[in-house]
Amino acid sequence: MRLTASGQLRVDEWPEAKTFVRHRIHPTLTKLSASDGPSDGAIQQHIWSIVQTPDDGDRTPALSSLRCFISYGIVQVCRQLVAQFGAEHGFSLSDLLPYVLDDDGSAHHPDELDVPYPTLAIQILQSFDPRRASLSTWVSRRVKRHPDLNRFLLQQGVYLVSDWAILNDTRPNQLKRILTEFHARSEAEVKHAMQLLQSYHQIYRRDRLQQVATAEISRGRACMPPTVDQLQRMSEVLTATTALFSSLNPEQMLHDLRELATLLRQYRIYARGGNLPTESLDQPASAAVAMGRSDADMAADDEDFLSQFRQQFVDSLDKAIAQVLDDRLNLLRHRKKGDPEGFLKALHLFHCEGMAMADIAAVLNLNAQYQVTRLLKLKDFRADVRQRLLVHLGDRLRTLAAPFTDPEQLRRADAKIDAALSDRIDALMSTAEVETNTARNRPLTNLLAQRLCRHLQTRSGES
Amino acid sequence: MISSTPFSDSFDAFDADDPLTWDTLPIDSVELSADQIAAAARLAEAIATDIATDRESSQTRADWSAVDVAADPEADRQWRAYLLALATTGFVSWLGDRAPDLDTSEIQPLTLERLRHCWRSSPHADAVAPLQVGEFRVCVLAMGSLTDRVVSVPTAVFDEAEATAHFYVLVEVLEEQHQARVYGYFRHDQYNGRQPQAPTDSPAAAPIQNKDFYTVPLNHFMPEANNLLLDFRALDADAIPLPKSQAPSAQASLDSLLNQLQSVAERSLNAAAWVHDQLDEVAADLSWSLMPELVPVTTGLRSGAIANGDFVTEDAIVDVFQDLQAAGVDMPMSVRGAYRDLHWGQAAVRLHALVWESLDSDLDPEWTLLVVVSALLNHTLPAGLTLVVRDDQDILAQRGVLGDDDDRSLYAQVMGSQDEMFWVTIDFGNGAIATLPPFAFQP
Repeated sequence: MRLTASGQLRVDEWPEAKTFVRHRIHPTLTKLSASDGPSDGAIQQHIWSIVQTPDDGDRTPALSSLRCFISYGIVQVCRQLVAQFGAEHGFSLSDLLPYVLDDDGSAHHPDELDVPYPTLAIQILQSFDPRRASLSTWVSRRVKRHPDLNRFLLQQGVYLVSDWAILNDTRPNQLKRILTEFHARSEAEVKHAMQLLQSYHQIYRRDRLQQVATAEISRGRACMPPTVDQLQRMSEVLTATTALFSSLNPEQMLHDLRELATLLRQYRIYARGGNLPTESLDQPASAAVAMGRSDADMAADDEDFLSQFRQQFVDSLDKAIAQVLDDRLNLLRHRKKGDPEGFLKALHLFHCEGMAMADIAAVLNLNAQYQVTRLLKLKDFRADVRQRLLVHLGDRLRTLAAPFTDPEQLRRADAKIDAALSDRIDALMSTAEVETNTARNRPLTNLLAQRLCRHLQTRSGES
Repeated sequence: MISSTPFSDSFDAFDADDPLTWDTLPIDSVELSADQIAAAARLAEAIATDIATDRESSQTRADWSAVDVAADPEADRQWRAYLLALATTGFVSWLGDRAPDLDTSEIQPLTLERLRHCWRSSPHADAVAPLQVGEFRVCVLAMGSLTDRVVSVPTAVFDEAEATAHFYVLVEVLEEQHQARVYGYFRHDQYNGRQPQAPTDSPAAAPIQNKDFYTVPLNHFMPEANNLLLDFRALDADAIPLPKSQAPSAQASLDSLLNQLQSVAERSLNAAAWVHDQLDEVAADLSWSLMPELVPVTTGLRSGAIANGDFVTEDAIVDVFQDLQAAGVDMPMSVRGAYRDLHWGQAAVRLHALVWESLDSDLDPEWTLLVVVSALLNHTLPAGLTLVVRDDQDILAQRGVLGDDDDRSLYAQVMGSQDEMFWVTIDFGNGAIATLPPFAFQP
């Protein structure tokens, strides 16, 4: 597979490679392996060994077939990324491929791979070692770690912690605990790992701090793999501190460090498993819903609550909305990439016209729903309004008087207010007020939306 | 392309187990600028040194021994301090963005000095406390790119009145991506005296003695930063009771700090050993070095000069000797002493402790301690530096560096009987204070 000049993905066939596989590979392996066909690893291994054999006449087509395979693998990894994040974060396969699918399709002889600007495919082939991993594993890892690809992804709000960052941030006693308890490693293995980590820390962290302290890291943020020089220094530290180690060559050291990072990464996935708050992007969670009250209960309760304090409540709400908007706009004005007008517009579209996030993105010329979500930060916005409201209500309302002396009571008050702002309470609004709202589609009829839309109308009227 | 059947399976099967997965950048994370990051790195270096100095000299923390310093290498301490500095910067930024209505004047702008001052109350690379937000005290903890199921929190920030806080906030730092965000928090009344972690089997493995840390499960931190803001805005500070503080607030003056020295310390430096050309055990532990024998020259043009050797800071000592002689002090035939260098950030001073016996009285032999603080090569002493020498009752001498002087040294001389001890304290004037174990003379 490759990209054409116009960026299209194209599947090319290489006849020589096809012939090679059909005539040489299939028969050989069918003979060698069990009845259900050859395994992928076996195929790759076999082809690879052909490439490595100096006097084998099929080396070039063998290499070509591997390149085909690699290109397919690259596309697979990218497809998976797009499937997982593309929609929300606004990128497609055609955005990703130019970074990694750079094989031009021209023929190469295995002995001519030392070109000045090797493609990713060639880099993968040059660094591949079948004893360490299968080719598919290798392709996947190299693609996932590609710095330009990751730089792009970070801009879209998707990030990958590098092995080196994980190693940097892991403390020796954490490593010990994780290897012992989670990975059930032996004491000797754990000790070895800790010494390795400590030698890494002494060199890599030190260098990074120096670079960072002089603000050198403005271009590439990512932690780069350790250089050969760094690896050598680490090896020296290691031999100095442990009598048992024979000096590790840099390549071995790099490999061992990556393995360590992978173990930690597995633990990280486990640790993050239950802990990440999930939130629907379109409808920020409402505390009332979380409390599990029935609709009937809510309506009755809130009517009751609001009917007592309606005027003060609405006044305080209006004040709170104005303040929070001011603060937010102020912040956006001072940001380099801040977009105060876009913020107001998005706010209006969501609350007053009931537009979905994806549609709002289109209107604002943003290419991802994620960007709208980040711009609006609706959950935070609601929280700020609620909290300011609470402060404003002050001692007018005995039961809602800030400052609170009981944290649990404060939580309950917050939840009550959240409910009041979220639920449909048309019945409490006077007809006159309802009619003055000129927006035609109003699927969001909650109190917050109503007062907010009113305010936005006034604001835009003034400007 | 070749027939795809044999290969497609391998990719699908592989990816399921691959731990290389991406994460979504949290919506509420704040971006840290390159300058903020650079400042954090520089701060970390200064803090790591402060901690080392504090540990060696602090008398109120008898647990910190020289062994701890060796077991917690500077490189480790420095990186942890760096992450924590990033976490604190991120936290303060986030507060400024989200809640301009809160009183953050104590921590905004987040200067080096302010942060070091807060750090002084809890000298760890693992927690910064207390930060003042309105009426509330906040302790910031950092979590790096390795998400762990437990968080180590120094016991000091729960138990010690000066360091304890209303809120314990865990900030997740993505150093590589220049991002930080408030992961979660809990209130002091919610921690309920967690048990200290049991010590591990091999002391060499754990950088810090484990009885100094509580392990708090990650899920104990309530993952809702908005609730923290709610508490800041609408909660009464009294709603979260804290242990009563013995000492005054974090802005402890030099005097009140000295007043905290209640008991005689178990460890003291025995200067009598130096007279016999030996460094005593305590001094050796604390990285003092023995000075060559100094012979004050009392006659001729080089009055006050040292006849022996080419000791690097001898100029400062020469000046001091000259002063003493001019003041009519009886100088002995030979002076012995020890010195050590104290560093913080970019600056460094050398502290000398010189001693001699006076045998005038047979009944009650006395000894003299001459403390000289001198600047190291091509530096002057920082303005605001104060040297204090006291005995177990009173301050005997207090000398300060005035801003406009081109001072190269500061000294104080005290004398006492041989069963008396003297305490030396150096206030660097920027929040850092070095309190040394007492000097004794016990031949």
